[in-house]
Amino acid sequence: MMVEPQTIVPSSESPLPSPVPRPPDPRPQTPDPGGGIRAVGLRKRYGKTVALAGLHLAVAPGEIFGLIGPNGAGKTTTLRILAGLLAPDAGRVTVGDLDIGRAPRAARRLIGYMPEDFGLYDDLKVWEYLDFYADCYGIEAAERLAVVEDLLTLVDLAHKRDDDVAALSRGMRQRLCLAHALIHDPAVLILDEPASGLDPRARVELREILRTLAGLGKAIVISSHILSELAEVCTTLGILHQGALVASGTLAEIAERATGRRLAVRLLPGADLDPAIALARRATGVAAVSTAGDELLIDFNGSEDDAAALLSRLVGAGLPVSAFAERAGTLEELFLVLTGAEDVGSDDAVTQEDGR
Amino acid sequence: MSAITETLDTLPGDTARRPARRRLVGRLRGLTGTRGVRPRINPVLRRELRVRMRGKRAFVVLGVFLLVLGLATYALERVVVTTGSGSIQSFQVGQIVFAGLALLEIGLLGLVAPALTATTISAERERGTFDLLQATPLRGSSIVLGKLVAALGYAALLIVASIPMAGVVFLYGGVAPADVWATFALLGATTIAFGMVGLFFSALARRTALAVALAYTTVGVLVAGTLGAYVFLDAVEGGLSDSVQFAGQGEVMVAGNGEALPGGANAPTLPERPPRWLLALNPVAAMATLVADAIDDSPPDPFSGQPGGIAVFGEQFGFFSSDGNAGLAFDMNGNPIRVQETDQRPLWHITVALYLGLAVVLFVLTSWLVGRVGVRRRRRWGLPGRAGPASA
Repeated sequence: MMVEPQTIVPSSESPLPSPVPRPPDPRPQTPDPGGGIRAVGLRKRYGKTVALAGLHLAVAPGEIFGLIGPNGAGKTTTLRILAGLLAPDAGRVTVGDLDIGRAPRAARRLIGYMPEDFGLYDDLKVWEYLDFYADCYGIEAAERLAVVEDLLTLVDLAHKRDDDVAALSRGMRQRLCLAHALIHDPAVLILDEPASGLDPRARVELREILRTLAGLGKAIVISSHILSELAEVCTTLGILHQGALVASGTLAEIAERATGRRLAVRLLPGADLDPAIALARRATGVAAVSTAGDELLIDFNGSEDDAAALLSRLVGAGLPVSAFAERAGTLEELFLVLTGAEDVGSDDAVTQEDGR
Repeated sequence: MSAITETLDTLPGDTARRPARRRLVGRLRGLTGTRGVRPRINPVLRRELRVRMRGKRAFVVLGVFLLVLGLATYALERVVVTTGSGSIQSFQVGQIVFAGLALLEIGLLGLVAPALTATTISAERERGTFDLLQATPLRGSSIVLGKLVAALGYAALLIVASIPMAGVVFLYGGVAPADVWATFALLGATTIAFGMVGLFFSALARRTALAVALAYTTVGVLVAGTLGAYVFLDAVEGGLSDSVQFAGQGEVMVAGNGEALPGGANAPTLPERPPRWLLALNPVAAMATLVADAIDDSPPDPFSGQPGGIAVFGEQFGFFSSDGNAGLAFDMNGNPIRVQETDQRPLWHITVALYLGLAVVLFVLTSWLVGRVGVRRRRRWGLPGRAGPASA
């Protein structure tokens, strides 16, 4: 089904005004780690290429925000700007009450960043690697070792403590980098493709760790090509297309705005679908009807009464209805709807499992 | 049991990990993420020192360095003793060996220092650790300082390890301890400056190979380029051989051909020399003047109590005399004599000041390069630029 892309601005995210330049505040800024991360009007251009075209984003403490988009949509640029590693051409990022452009060092203490293409110091041992970053973040020597031990346990690398980093597998390196991002207990976690290279068990553990961290009040921004992973772990999602968020909110909110309600009607195997299709098309609130196996998929914009009437008509006509339920579109479907057909089938298209 | 601890305990994995999770939660609660950074020892320095001596490379470099110095010392001592048998005094052997060692050492450190630093930052970029380092609260200057001090620490190890060989000089005498310290000062300043040259290009270039090439080109210009330029300008403007040389009070003023010239009010006007800073930029020239001065000033002639001129050395290194103006003169018989110190500051003083100044300037520039954000590297030449969109 070809669907025209549409731009959706969720009600909770109205366009924000452009930041007004202000003179630097001479007072020392006291970081407020509890405010999450907020980006206002981010613009970034590389030569003639527009990477970000006025991006607005707000992730509250305890929220896991998934950033989805095809390659070249601006995901990495967004995450690098959020992490304070790239200066936007316009717009600003605040972590809590800290403006990352004005107090970058203080803001970095509140951010844990895990890039997609990260490197490790292969000449260090695993514990030394984390100890180094703990030192960089100013954690006292007496506390460092204990934090390192516990983080290694958390990411299931305690048994590799004294191994060379060079000897770790890709999945282990991924987990070590995640541990590095957690070493200073950041209020905001920015993770670019963190599940890439992890085996299924490690992915399950990663999801649980992220939920736990969110439960501790951390704001988490995560990008991934693995949409099913994001759908499962993220509390909110943002679909990035051509440098702008075309939709954001919970999966259900996005689905409703993108495709409307969809009802799935299942008949007993072998039943004739044609009468059901004909009946459904005549019912109130039905926009379109399609089939998938022995199911009718009904794009529905009617009321609850209309839905009840539809079910009643189907059953009254003697059709063997075995299931009648609302079905949310999958994230993959929504992604394709919202980012347009040009991404489908291209090398850059996002895949369900692993986009590589 | 708190809700958070219970949540952690529900994580997959064996039960042995649960206590650790509980402790971690306690620490995460304690660490609000707002702790100030109070580094005791620069973390980058700690890491660099930790890994610097791992593997064979550091020991191979140290071994080769000492081997070359040792062989050179032995060869020099043998040649001087053998060829100068009967006509050369003990202190002269010490002086020549000292001069040879000092020049060799500055040459070797000129080779080693850029190599120690030119790979450090570009290698971080190449292996993808630079972003992680930049994402920490460390200042650019802290990162650069850590890398520089670690490299200098290794260079200091090379210098210190060579001290026993330099000690041979004291067996023969002829060199004052102050001159040895002056040699170390010049070696130190040169190592710092060349190390900063390497760091600067390492921060500027994305590729290590390019950083190394640029660093050695710069060092080459400073060592060979300045000398070549000086010799060329000297030749163009009259040159050493044709110019009138100045001898200080109590000495004769002679032409380049050895002919005595009248002094005092009838003294000829000195020809214009190439700019002295050209030689001051050259650490080998500065070292040559330093050792020439050291040899010239000591020890006193046991019979007259006057400084004994070292003709054999002066002939070889006279071009780099203490005033930096090729102040080597010849007496009426064509024998070389020493030019008195002029009121000019010794060349190596200027070199040390220039190199420390250069190091400071490069440190500031490199810190800026390392600390700035928002720059993607230009791919064509591996130099930083503004082009190149992010990958996603």
